[in-house]
Amino acid sequence: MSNIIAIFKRDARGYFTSPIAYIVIGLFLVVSGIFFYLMLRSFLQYSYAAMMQRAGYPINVNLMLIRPFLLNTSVIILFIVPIITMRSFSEDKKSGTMELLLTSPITNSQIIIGKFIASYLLYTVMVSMTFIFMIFLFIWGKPQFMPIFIGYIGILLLGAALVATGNFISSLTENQIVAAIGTFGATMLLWVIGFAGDFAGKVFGNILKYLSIIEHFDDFSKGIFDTNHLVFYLSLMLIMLFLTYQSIESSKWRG
Amino acid sequence: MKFYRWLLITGIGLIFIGLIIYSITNLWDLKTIIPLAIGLGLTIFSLIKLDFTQIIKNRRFQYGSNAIIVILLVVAIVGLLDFFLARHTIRIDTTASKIFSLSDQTRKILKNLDKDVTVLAFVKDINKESVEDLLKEYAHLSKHFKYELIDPDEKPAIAKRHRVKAYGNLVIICNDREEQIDQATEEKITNAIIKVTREEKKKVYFVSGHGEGSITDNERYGFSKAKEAILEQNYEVEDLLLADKDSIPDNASVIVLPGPKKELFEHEKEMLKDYIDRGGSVLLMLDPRPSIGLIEFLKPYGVQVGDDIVIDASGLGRLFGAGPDIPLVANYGSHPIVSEMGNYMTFFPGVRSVRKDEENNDTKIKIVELAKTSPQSYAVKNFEEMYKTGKIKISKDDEKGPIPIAVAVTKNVEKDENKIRDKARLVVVGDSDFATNAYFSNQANGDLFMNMINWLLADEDLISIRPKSPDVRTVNMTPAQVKTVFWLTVIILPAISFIVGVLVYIRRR
Repeated sequence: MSNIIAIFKRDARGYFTSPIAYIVIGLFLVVSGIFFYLMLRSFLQYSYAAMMQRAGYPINVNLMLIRPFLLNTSVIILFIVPIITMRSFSEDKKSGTMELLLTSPITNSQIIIGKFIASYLLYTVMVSMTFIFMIFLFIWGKPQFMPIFIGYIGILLLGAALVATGNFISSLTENQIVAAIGTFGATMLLWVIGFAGDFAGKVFGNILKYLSIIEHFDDFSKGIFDTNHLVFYLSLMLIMLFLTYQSIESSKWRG
Repeated sequence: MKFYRWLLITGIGLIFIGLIIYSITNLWDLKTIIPLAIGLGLTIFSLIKLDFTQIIKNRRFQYGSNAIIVILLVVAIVGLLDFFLARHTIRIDTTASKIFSLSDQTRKILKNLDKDVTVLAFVKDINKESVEDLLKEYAHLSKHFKYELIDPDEKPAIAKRHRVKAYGNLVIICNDREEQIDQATEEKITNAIIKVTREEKKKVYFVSGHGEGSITDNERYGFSKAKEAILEQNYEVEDLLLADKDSIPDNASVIVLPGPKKELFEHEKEMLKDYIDRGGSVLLMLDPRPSIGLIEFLKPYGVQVGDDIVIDASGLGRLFGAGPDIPLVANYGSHPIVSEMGNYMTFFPGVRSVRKDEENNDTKIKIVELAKTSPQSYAVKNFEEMYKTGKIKISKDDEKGPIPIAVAVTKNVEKDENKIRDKARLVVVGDSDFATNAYFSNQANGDLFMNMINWLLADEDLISIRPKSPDVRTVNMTPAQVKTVFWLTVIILPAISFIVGVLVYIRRR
């Protein structure tokens, strides 16, 4: 355990003492902030119009603003996660510290878990910043808290799966750019794979649809908690961590 | 060496292609077998040529294949675990008004669903999301439930095949039965599922043998269009020759008397009375001439059928090419049959008055007047001469409109072993022509007729579900506040992050 914490501290320090973490967070906040602002404005316009006409569908900020915002954020995350995870293994491999780590008494799984938690911490800090937007809504309106809470749980679960994927791809290469592009490709694949499900056969199509990473987020954005999606994200995370382990182990015999 | 290595890769690639083709077509035909066979052959051939034993002895190969096997095993185990856990999910809807939860009735029906039901939703982009949200909840609850969203403009052929009438309509399919609904509400979808999966079809009988219009008659005075409309709702329609029966068939859901021209025999009336008293549903369409003796028959039910003809002097009908003897109706009572008619107009060519008998105070009976003609209409009493000469003459004692021309009656049924329903339902209209082929498609005539039939069918299996709508949760912000949010979210927050980044960078140097 102390070994995991040691690795975690080392990597976390690496993230937060270099400007990269702040640039990633700042970038993410600009993009999601603009989307939030635009969505908020059109939501307010819509509710004013609906109030004037005194008719139609009830105005519900959870459904009409927060849900699309969360869905939107989940897509932005796909683009940001590769930048977070690109350095986790690649940098150590490039600078040669990876070999030191591997020969140290710290086991491979401890390294992997420590590194995963460190990059996941950066991810968590980044996405929780958007919760400030929700606070604005609570100040001037009355959204329902539970669906937002569930939505953020979904974002954290989605992130766990994506960060683990990024870590795995970073463990394959010592080039950070390759790691970032590779992770980006993998996340995109996990995103669009569900579309292919419509064209494939019945069984195969269902498997493809199940693999679609954003499809599982939809229920969270509505405020529905379904163990099906929890299981999906956790198992994707576990498989990716396991693959990372295999990839680190393979350096022993690959030569 | 190198050549055989490529051959091996090609072989494995071909096997994959074969498997992919199989997954798409689900057929073991030449298209799948050929690449599979060639791929398998190439793989084996190249492995032999590459000296298989040599490769296996290689340390790297051993480790590599070990790793691959372990990875495949782990993925397979996790996949299987997911598969089993996916069948027993816990699903919690945290929204305040539970908008994403289906009612208990729907849950029960989906749980007992043992036939495949497919829903085709012909929706455009705007409504897509809410429709899909709803259908997704259905699909979650039953593996027999499938749905597909179809853009009717992109795939007009499918829309045409299912005779989709309007954007936003849904077609619910089970085997060869189809049901079309115009709104994606839980109540309508669930009821449509009940209808298409029902074992036995319910029957609507049209009585014949007294010169009534026939359901097989495609001409002006036939009821073939009405028959088509009922068939579309997944009910069967049949002729019923009352005279040679002992009683109304057990599978009858509604009996229609489409304008009898001759008196009914006593035993026929007895049968009808017995059927109504047991909780049956009857639609009586009685023309002014020839007037038959059902007037007495209807008295106990609180229905007063007038011996007159309604003449519309408002001239409104002229706009639609209808003369004064074809009253236009746009004034409806408050009753489920006419609740959705709004301002739609209906025509009644040659109609007599049918009204509530105020003197009848039988507490078991509830009676509602469905439709009234315009205030400028008259119920003309002595119209024999008018029939002969064709001249319209309104006399002073003729009652001035609005004249009621249709009523709906419900009657509580007393305890009875052969009870069909708790309440008998009866609709009496002073005209049969409005539902004939000639007028069925005019204005809202067909809708009115079908509403009557649907109300009379009063399917006990069908359920009612209160529509759910999200609770009102607004945000009120002044433009200045919106601007503040803009500055905070888009400028200040990110700027803080960037500045901290720069400070960290400077400190480290």
